[in-house]
Amino acid sequence: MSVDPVIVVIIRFGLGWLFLAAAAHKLKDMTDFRSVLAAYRVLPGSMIGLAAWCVAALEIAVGIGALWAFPAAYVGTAVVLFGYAGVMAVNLVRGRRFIDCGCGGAVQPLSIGLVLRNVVLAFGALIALLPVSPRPVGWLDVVSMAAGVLVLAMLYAAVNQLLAARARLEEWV
Amino acid sequence: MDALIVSIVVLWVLVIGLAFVVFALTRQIGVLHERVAPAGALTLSGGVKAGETPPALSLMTLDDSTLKLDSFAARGRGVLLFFLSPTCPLCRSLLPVVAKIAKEERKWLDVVFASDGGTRAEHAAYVADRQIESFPYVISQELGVAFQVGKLPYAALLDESGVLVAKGLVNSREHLESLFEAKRLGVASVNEYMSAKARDETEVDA
Repeated sequence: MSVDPVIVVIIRFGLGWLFLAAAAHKLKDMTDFRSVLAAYRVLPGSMIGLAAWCVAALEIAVGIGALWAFPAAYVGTAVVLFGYAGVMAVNLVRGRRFIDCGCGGAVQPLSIGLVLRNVVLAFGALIALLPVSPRPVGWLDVVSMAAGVLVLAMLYAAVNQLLAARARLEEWV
Repeated sequence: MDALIVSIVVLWVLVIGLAFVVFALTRQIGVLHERVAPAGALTLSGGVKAGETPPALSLMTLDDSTLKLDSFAARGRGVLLFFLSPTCPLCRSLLPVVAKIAKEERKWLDVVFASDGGTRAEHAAYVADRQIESFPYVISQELGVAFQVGKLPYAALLDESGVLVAKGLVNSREHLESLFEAKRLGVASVNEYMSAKARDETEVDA
């Protein structure tokens, strides 16, 4: 099984954008991110400060790695995404869905939708590991790549908005 | 071949346009959720009513001093009681708004944070983390029961004579500000304010 270069480039830049934007959001308000991380209750309280910096650094590392097309970075992004999905699922099972997911943007509680979103993204990242089928890349491919990344980013933001809106609707009942 | 190329480029342009429209729509849904008040669910019945004076409870603050609820009226100051919990994400996001209100209305208003349950250490850590040390923080189940606080974040506004002006579930900046609007307009609750506002707007439209 192999994959077209256009697809790989879209995934590459998509992942790079996703992780660098996520890291920038965390670095902008580390106090906030620390309390989000603490609320997940997956780490002992004394490690939260250090862990918060490590998570941000890890996101920057795999984000840049993905832009540079390091295969290890693709694996890294998938591991991080599965990891986030895992801790969200753990807290959903514990009945702690009311905590802030820390997804950036509006405050939103955990939901099964967010877990699925991360699993889909993680599998997407793994597609980039498949061998690339060799073919010449023309200007039309470049158009497809740029437009693809742009549309993916917009749709990702739209999905986030819809998940946050759905959570608000549930609160009204 | 040319036709294919042209059609692909045109399609991409249209898809990008659609993606922007979809995003803008979801954004507007989000904004609408913030603007529209949950119909009638804000002031939960029971507890102290608007226009009544709450019981003169003696409350313990986090730094072990006693805070009497009627001491504010005795000094001719109003008080905003903000009920929160360290585990409530919406409360956390509203803290900057509360701090801003405390600053803007400092001529006549004191702000008190109120919570219950959990351990003292949790509350202390939360206060330090959110940098709200400058406000009294009381841990009292009694206070929550007096105002029948069901859902968080919840706020109650007492005027300078210690009378409850308005109270309710506050999910956004606008809900919080509507408590003050209620004081200005002399309406009893956020619900009443919202329906009065809706009436005004329909009249303007008509």
